[in-house]
Amino acid sequence: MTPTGKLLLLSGLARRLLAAPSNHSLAAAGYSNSSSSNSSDVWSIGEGGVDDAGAASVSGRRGASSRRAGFAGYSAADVAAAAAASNTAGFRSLVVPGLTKEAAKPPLLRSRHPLTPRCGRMKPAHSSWPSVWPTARTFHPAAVPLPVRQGRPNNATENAGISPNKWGNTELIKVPNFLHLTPAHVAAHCAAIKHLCTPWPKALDEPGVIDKQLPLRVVTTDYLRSHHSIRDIRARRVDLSLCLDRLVKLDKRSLEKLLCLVSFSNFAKVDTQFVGSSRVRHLRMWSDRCPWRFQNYDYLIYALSALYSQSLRHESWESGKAWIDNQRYEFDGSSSQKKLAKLANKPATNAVTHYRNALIKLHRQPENGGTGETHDSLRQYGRAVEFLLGIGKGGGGGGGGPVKKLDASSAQQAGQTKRTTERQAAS
Amino acid sequence: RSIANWLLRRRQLSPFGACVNRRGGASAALLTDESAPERHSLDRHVGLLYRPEEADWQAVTRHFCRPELVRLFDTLGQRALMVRRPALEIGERLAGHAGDGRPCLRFVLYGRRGSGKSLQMGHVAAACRRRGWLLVTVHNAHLWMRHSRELHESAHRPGMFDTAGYGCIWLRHFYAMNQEILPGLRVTKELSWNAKESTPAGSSWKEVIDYALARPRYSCAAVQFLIDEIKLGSVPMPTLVCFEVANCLWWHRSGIKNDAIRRTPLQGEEPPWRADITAKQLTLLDAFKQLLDSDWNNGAAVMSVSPQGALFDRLREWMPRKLLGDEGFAYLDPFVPVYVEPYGPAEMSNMLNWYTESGWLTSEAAATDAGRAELAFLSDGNAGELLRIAGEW
Repeated sequence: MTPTGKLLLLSGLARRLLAAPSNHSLAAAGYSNSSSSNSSDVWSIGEGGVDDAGAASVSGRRGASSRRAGFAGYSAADVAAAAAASNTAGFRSLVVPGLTKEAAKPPLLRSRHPLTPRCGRMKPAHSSWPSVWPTARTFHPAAVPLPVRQGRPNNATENAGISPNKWGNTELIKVPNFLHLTPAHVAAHCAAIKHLCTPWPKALDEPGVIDKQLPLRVVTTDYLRSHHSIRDIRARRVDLSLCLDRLVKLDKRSLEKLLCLVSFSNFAKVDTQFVGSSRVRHLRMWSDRCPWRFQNYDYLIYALSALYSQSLRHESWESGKAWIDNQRYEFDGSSSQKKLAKLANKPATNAVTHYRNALIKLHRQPENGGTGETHDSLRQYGRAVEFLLGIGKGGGGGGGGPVKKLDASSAQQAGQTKRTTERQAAS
Repeated sequence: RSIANWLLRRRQLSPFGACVNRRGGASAALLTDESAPERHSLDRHVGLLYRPEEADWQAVTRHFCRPELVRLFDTLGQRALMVRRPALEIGERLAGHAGDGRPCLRFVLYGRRGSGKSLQMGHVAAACRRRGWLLVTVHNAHLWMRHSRELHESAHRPGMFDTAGYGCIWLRHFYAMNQEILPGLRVTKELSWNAKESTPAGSSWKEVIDYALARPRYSCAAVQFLIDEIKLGSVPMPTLVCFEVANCLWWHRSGIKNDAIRRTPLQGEEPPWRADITAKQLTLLDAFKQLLDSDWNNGAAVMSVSPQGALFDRLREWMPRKLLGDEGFAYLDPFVPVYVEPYGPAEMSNMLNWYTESGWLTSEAAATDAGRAELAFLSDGNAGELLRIAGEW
C-alpha cells in the first residue's frame, strides 16, 4: 500500500472516527456533515488544480471507490487546518512540490502588459494626435496606440509564424514614419498659416490662362523608396518647357538659329504639336547632370538664357550658310530647282508650282508642314513630275492637264477614270 | 468561298471575257492568249497571266527572274507571268512620250522585297525589245559591289578601279540580249584603248565587244565607250536602261576594299581598317550611273530600289527616298516613282489557280477555300513569299 493509500485509509478511518463532530477542530474548521450529499467527492489526487474554489470545485464523481473514502474536496485552508489538526493529532501533511497548492507568489518578471492597452487609457486631453506627436520622431511603441507589426518570420515556429509586434521592433525604428504628417497635422499647419495666404486667382482657372501668365513650366519628381536609403537618384532631374511663341524679339532668322542650336544639344529639343490647324512649338529642356535639384534648375535657367541671347545675336560668318544647313527643306537653292533650268522644254509656271509643292511635301517632315515620305506624297510627286515633263496621261507635247486641285478638265477626268479603274482592279 | 464568289461575279462583269482562256470550273487560272507584252493593255489584261514567247524569255525576261522562279518554270515545264498594272503604266508612258529624240525619262520601281519589281521591269524590257529598242540591263550591281573580280586600277579613268571580270560578263550578256540590233550599230568616234591600239570610227559595236572580250583589261573601257555613244545619240533606235537595285550606286559601303587607303574604324571592327571602294570609284558602275542621268535623249531608264542595295546594313526600309538618300534622290530627280503593290484578291486567286493547275500546289488543303485563304494570309500578297510558301504546300 502506498503511503497515499495509507493516508486515505487513515483519513477514512479518521472520518468514521469523527463521525460525530463534537469538539473536533474539523467541525470547528467548518467541515460539515452534509458531506454525505457530496460524499461522492473525494479528494482525488491531481484534481483540484490551482484554482481555489475549494469545496465547490468538486468534480462530481459519485460512487466513491473503496480507496477513496467519501471526502469532500478540501481547500487549502482545510488542508492546512487539517494539518494543524493532525499535527496536533500527530499526523504530518504531505506536500508534493508542483501538486500541492501553494500560496500564490508574486511573479518574478514584470508582465509586459500589466495594464489594459493604451487606447483604453487615453484621456480626452491627449486625444489630439498632433499634440501627442507634434514633430518627426523615431517610432515609440508605447506612444503609438496602434497594433502595428513589422517583419516576416522565417518559418512557422519563429514567433508562432506571425510578424513580430511593435515592442522592441528595430525595423519599425529604422524606417521613417509619417506620423507627424497626418491629415490632422496638415489641417493644423494650414490653419496656422492661412492668414498669410491670398486666395487663388479665379481667372487662372480658365484653360490656357496659366500658360499665358506663367509660360515657364518646371517639372520635378519625388520618389518614394522602400529601401534602407529613402533617397532616389532620379529626383535630381528637372524638366523645363516653354512655348516658343512666348520668346519675344525672335524674328525668322533668330528662330532658325535657335532651332539650329537646339538641334546640336543633347538636352534640349523642340516639340511640334498641331492644335487644329495652327502649329504650337514647345522648347523642352531637361537636366540631371548636377547632383542636386536646385543646381539642375539653375543650370537650365542659365542654358535657356544663353540659348535665347545667342540666337538673337547674329555673327558675320553666319552669312556663309549653305542650302544644306537649312533646318527644313527649302526648294529655293536646291538641286531640283537648278535642274529645272536644264529641262529641254521650259515648263509652265503652274507645273513648276506643283512640282515645288510636291517636293516640299515629300521632303519636309510633319512638324515642318510636310508629310514626309508616304505613298500619297510619292504619288503626288510622280504626278507633278509627269506634268512637268509633259508625260502624263492627259499631257503630251506640253501644257498637259493639271494634276491636282485645279478646275475640271478632260485630263483630270481621264485621271479620275484611271483612278477608278485602279481601285476596281485593286479591290 | 468568298474568293470564288468574287471571282464568279467578276467574270460575269468583266470586260475582258474575250481574251480569257477558260478552262472550265470556277478555279481556272485566267490566262490571256496575248503573249506579246507590248500589246497588253490596262483595260483588258491586268491580272491575267500570259505565256512569254521563247525568244523573249531567253533573251530578256529570264534575266529579270530570280533563280527560284526559273527553276520553277523548268520544273513545271511551262511559264506564266502575270500582267500587272505598274509595268503597263510605265509601258504606256514610254510608248507615248519616250524615244524620238525626247529626253530620258526615269522611273523608279519600289516595293517590298519579293513584290515583283524585277519582273515588272522584265515586262517593260520585253515590250521595248519587241518594239525594236536597244536594251541596256544591269541585274547584279549590288553583287558587283560585294565581291571583286579582277580588280585593277583604271587606265581610262585615273583614280578609279576597273572590275574586268564583270565587264566581260556584262558585255556578253549585252550582246546576247541585243543580237539582232547590234550588227547595225556603228561607233562614231575613234576609241583609243591605249597609246598604241585603237578602234577606228565607223566600226561596228560587235567589233568593240569582241575586242574587249579578247582583252578583258579593257572591258570596262569598252562599256564606257558604248555608253558614251548612247549618250551622244548615235544609236538610231531608242534605248531602254534597266537597272535593278539602283540605290547601291549611292551607298557608302561595299565589300571591295582598297588596301592602299586606311579609314576610321567602325564600331567594334577589327583591323585592318581599309577603305571601301564604293560605286563612285568603280568605272563600270559609274558608267551605268551616267546613263541614269537626264542629259541624254532618245531613251528611258527604269530602275528599282531595294534594301538589298543597302550593303552591310540590314534595312527594313523600302521607300525610295530613304534608300536613295539625299544624293541619290537629287541625282535622279525628277523621276516618276512607281509602286509595285502586293497582290490584290483577283491577282492572288489567279496565281493560286495557276499554281494548282500547273501542279505546284500539291496538297489537298490548297484546293480548299480555307487553305487558299491561309496561303493568302501567310504570304500577305507578296509574290515571292507566295512562291516560297506554295512550294511547301
